[in-house]
Amino acid sequence: MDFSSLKGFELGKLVLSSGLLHKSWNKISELRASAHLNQIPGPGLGIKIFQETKYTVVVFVAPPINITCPLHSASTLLSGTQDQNPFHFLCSEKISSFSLHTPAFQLFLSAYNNNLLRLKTELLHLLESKKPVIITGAALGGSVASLFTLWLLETVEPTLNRPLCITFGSPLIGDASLQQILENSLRNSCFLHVAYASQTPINTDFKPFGTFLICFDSECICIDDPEAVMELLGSANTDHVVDSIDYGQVLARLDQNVMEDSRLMIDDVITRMEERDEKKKVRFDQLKKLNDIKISMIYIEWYKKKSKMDKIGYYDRFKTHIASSVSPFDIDIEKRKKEVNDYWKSLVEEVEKKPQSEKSVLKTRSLFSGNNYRRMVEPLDIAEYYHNGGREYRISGRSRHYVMLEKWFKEAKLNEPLRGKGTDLSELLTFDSCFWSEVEEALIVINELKTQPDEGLVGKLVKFEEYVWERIRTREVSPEIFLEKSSFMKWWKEYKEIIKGFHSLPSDFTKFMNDRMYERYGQAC
Amino acid sequence: MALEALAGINNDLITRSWMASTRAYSTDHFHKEEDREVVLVAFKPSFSDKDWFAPENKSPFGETKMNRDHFPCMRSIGNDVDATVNQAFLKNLQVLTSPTTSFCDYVKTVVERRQSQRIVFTGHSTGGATAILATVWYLETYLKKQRSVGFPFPEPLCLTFGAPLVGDYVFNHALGRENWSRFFVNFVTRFDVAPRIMLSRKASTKQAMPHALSQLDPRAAAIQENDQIIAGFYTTVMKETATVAHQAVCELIGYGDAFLETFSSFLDLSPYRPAGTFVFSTGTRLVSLSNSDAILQILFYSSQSRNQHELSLVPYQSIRDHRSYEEMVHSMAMKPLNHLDLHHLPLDGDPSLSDLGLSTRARQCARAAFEAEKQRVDNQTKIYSKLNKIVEKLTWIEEEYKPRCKTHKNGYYDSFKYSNEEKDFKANVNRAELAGLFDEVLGLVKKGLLPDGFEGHREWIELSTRYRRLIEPLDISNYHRHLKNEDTGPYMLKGRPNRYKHAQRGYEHELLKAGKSAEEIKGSGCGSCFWADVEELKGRAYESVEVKRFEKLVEGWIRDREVDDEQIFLEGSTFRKWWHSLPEEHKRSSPLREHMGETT
Repeated sequence: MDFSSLKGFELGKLVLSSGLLHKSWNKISELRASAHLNQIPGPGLGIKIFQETKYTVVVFVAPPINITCPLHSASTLLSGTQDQNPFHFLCSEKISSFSLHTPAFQLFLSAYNNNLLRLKTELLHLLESKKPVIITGAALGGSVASLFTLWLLETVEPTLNRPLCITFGSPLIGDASLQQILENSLRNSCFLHVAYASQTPINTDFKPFGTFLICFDSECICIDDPEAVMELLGSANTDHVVDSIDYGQVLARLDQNVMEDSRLMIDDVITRMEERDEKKKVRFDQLKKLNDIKISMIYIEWYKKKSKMDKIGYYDRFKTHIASSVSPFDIDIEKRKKEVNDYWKSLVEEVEKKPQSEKSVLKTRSLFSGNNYRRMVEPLDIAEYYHNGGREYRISGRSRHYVMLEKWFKEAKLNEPLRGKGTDLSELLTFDSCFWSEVEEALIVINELKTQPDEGLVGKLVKFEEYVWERIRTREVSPEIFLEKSSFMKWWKEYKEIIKGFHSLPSDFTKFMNDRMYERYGQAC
Repeated sequence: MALEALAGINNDLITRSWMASTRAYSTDHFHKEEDREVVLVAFKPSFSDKDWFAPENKSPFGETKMNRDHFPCMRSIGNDVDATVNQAFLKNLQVLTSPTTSFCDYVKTVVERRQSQRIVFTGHSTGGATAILATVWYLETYLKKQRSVGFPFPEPLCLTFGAPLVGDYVFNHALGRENWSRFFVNFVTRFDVAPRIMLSRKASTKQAMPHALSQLDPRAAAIQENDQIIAGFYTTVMKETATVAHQAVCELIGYGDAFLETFSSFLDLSPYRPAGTFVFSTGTRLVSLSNSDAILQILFYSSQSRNQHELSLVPYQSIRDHRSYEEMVHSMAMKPLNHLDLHHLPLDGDPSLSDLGLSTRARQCARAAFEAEKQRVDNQTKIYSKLNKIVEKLTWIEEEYKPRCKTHKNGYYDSFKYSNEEKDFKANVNRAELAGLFDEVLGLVKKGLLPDGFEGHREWIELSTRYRRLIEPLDISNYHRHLKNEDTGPYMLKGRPNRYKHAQRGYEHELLKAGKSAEEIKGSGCGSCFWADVEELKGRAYESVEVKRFEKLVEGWIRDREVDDEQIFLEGSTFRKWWHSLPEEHKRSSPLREHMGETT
């Protein structure tokens, strides 16, 4: 039973029977008629708000597309800062620029510079008071309506009802990059483009986004798959002047034939669409995987605990294990580490694809889990990195997803529990997940000092000492670093020897270590 | 006739119910008749528009929520929402069950006589709507108390003729969960407009309603064939029914579609849905089905016609059909009955569907509804196949982990907190795996992807209660040992997983049905959260009233087996240590003294 074409047809019927299309088209006709009578000031763009009882309709009316004008199918590239690009908020880490249809964009800009902001504020007020808003236009008017809606959506909170943008026979306005940005966003659901199949021209430089209602003579179908839309509209004859289509008539014809069974021969288009859908479904199902990941984290936590009981600390145990396998338990941990890493890498990638302002979609719980994961697992990656001969982990070795997780956690400014003097720190994970890379760098310095003494190198060690002491003082480091066999203690033994030669006063840190005060660090009082 | 197998009702009973429904016209509220085994109560219909849409109601479809205190079963446990019904019909029920009529007393007499096997609530038009709500009232009042009282109550049956829709999808879901849907059978002649009226907004039909209703009244004169008001009324109703039907099938197929969601927010869609079994009657046959989504699609498509001429006559047919139940009842014996369900899906060449005038598109929509039902059954099967795993894990915790912790005099809550041994690690893995399984189930329940009856299955309720009592302490322990109570907030406010809240609601619902009062249930709190309360009390200064109240609750929990008294009083337990820190005078008069083995 092929349900995707059924859905397309039923959705089309729903849209048709709802009456929203008729209402929007009537308002557009009304504005156009009055525009003929009173000349609109400005470069031809007319905007009017109609306050109906149930909703508000905002109509954009624009002059017809001039096919002879060389710019009529040109595109403008947009990227960069606010001044040049009113749509900068759509750019993401991955996709930093996209192109728009020039005539549409020019019209939008002219209005943008002319107090479009006021309209935006007014509409936001309406949305907040729960009154639904429809933004509509035909042909180029529709293109500008779409741009305006995109711009409006920047400041619409997810809790508000989303506005709906309905266009009639409008040319495509954005390229493949824009489509990709919107594909992963809820904003994509706010666009309904009504297009009469045999007369809507398609510019192959651009790609459709949102949902299309493709109208044939006696039936219509709703499609949101961009390739399918292009295929169904592709038979267009681009010489027609687009504006002259009376969608009122198109809709009336559809109404008459609404009870007929479908006679369209579009099975092949649908089949290809379904195949693409199948591939997309394999996409990321956050919630289910999260639980599997939690279980792997439990295993890693246990690994950490066992290592502590063996007085070695899991960082060093992992280092030893990579050198020569210790047990099936260690091998299993390697697998689990990879599993959790893959999960978090994918998750970060998914989030990065979203437009910047939707990033807060990463909920607090995920931020905490992500943070916990980073502090627990990054040390193991560091161990592997240095074991393989790497250097300067923070700069050259650190995986991007750790960087992003740390950044987002900091930006969210969440409260971390206080670690007062008397609290038990035995379960604490070192706050700075790159701590061990600092230790490794310090160990490398020590080795270099053995071959050639150098003031600069000693200076580096002193800096490291300050860094560690600060962490100890603020109680942000795990007591495990003080376990006998840990790399940190190894460093300390060597460092102790080096500074024996110095005659300066012992620092707080060296006192702390020499007096073995570290043995009591992190214990509950 | 196959209807007997279907609902245990025979032609004779249907005929008698219909006759009683007609007699109800001349009463004030209801008409009663009885024989040795069956009692019939028929309700009077009304053709005044204030009895279809309550005038004081401001909602677009005249709807209102059902009161949880009066109808505790009529809600969704998964989503914790009450059912929505038509306010006018509910008002009529309230009048019926008030002391001004003899209805309640009559039913009471019938029940206490212990003679009748069956009580039938029936009615035509809004009399049928009253019958539906009266049956729900009867079920809420009598049937669920059956377990505690001992003797069987007469089984109810609701037979309606051309009744308008009464409740929403939650109403329908609740009937399914309680296994009450089988008591409701609704007869509908093919074009009858009455069941479709509630699918359109009251504002749209307001003008034409009084005239339309007066025409629907069987006692009125014959309909004029060029009555424009009727034609307009019918067109309006069917147009809005179309929108509801299209939107419903899109939701069925495209679950989670964002565009559908955005677009639907611009529409006023009727919340009402068919409940129970519907029997559609055409000139040549009867078609019955119980799938609410499919019934909705058929309600729309069966009243359509492709023939232009036929189309112009349908509005008048729709009124006539509402008056032709007499004819339907008398010709029933001669018509074949086709029942549509998962095992008897409507196939393409099926005459039953063409008799109903269903186009190819219509059949596809009905098929989609059955596909969704099949998907729900499949989901349930998948979950049941995992039951063994769940029981295995719970048994390990109960029979191996807990006793081992006991020997260390620590109790499993505290042992888990320190997690120093391999067994604690294994318990943690078990905890996380069970969490995943129950979260998955809750996800399906909330989205309506499981059969309605799932949450009503004994086996499931017992399993989820066992899970909650056994494992919630471990989740609480896990929460506190990661100091989440400091960074996120107290467990009960911020940290409690929804799967436990859901399990608790299910458990409390069972208590309610067994006879415990709602206040009592609310007052006894939640025993599986015992440890969370202890952790919070531990962090605060001693406050006599609060602690006394807590101790009283603990006593109740020990009695109801919500906490394990073999564990919480162990020497090394956090609870015991905290209790010992309380002031002497409190300890001396505490009811928990003995448990604590106070030996000075």
